[in-house]
Amino acid sequence: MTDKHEHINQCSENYACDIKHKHINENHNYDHLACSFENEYPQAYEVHEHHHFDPEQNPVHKHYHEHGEDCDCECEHTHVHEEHSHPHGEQCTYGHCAGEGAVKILMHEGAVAASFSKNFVENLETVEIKLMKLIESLGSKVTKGGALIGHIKATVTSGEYACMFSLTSKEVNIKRNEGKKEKTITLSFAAIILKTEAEELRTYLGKIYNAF
Amino acid sequence: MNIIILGGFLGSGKTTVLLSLADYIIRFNKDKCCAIPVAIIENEIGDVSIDNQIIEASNYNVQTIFSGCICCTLVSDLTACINDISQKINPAYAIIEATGLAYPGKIAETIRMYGNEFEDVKIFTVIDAERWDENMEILDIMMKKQIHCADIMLLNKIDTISIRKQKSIFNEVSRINSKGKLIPICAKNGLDDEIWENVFIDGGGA
Repeated sequence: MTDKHEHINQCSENYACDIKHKHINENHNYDHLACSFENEYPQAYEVHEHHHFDPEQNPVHKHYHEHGEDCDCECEHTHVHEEHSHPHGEQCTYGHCAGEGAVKILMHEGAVAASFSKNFVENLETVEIKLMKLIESLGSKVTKGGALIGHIKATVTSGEYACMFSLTSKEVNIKRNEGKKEKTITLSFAAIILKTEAEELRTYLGKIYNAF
Repeated sequence: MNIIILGGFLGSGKTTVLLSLADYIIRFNKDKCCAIPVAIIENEIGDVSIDNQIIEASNYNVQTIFSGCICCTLVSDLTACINDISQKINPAYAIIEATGLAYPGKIAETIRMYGNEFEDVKIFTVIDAERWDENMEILDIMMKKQIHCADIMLLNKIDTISIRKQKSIFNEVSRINSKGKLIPICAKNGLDDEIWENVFIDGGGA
């Protein structure tokens, strides 16, 4: 009863459910229209398997790439990643695949505006310390590359609590509004950078997304 | 309803200034017993709104327009939003925080053209003294336009530059806009009421 698809893409690219792919299993046993896939992705490089057991059930992704290739997922692995699942049609949030797909890019007046938002459960203090380091690191990377920081901003909110981080030049400024906290943390992140490449910024923010 | 358009380049300190300004207006309006003294419109270019979260956490009434710029791509959203605020809330002041890449003059034009009849529309532009040279080198036309249309120019982060540099920036800014009022500030340390009194008495306020 398995409906199997294969889609091929670069390691760093998003392989969420809407990625172009080819069907490799002729034994399709449910309506094709339930799957949004269309065509073969041109760069045969890395293989992801995509199974649908049933349109009503969760699809399972499996992810491989060439041996020795740095897939940037920051884990010691044998180049076959664990299977993971998510509801059909939903953005894949597994490992390093999730980040870049979650980053939205807009261009305006020659500047690149990149942003993402993410909900998760983690220790708030740990998140803030980690986020501050990541913002500093992003600032340093983009300026070393000759770009100009318009601003890098992030907020961490939890219930009534909100903390905003902003970086324009050297130091990360922090503003806090104390309030009752909840378990779930929402991280919103935005960077507006001038004299930079959009895809480069997407990669940087994708890594920040994946760090949480 | 009075409208204040808060402009200024990215990273100049607009949100910090906004929080101080909103706080001043609320205290200022207490004497006048105004029901809702201030409403804030936040505009962000990106798909995710950041500033509104910290402003909302400060219990201000915030409307957000994101994924574009209200001076060009989201003009109709701005018009609808400002007219809606005027009809439903009618605060004493509506502060519009523009994106750092917006032309505040265009926003004022839109409001005057398509908005309801408002008492007053003023432009406050925040200028980043620390990164003056850097910003002017890359986007001098935008910076000059942001300054040129301002009724009030708030030269921020003056604590980071020398007196000599302050004078030099003062001269440059005055050459771009000789009519507006230029006030040096250091917003991160908080803004005294004296500064806002100076702004509102004969500069930007009703």
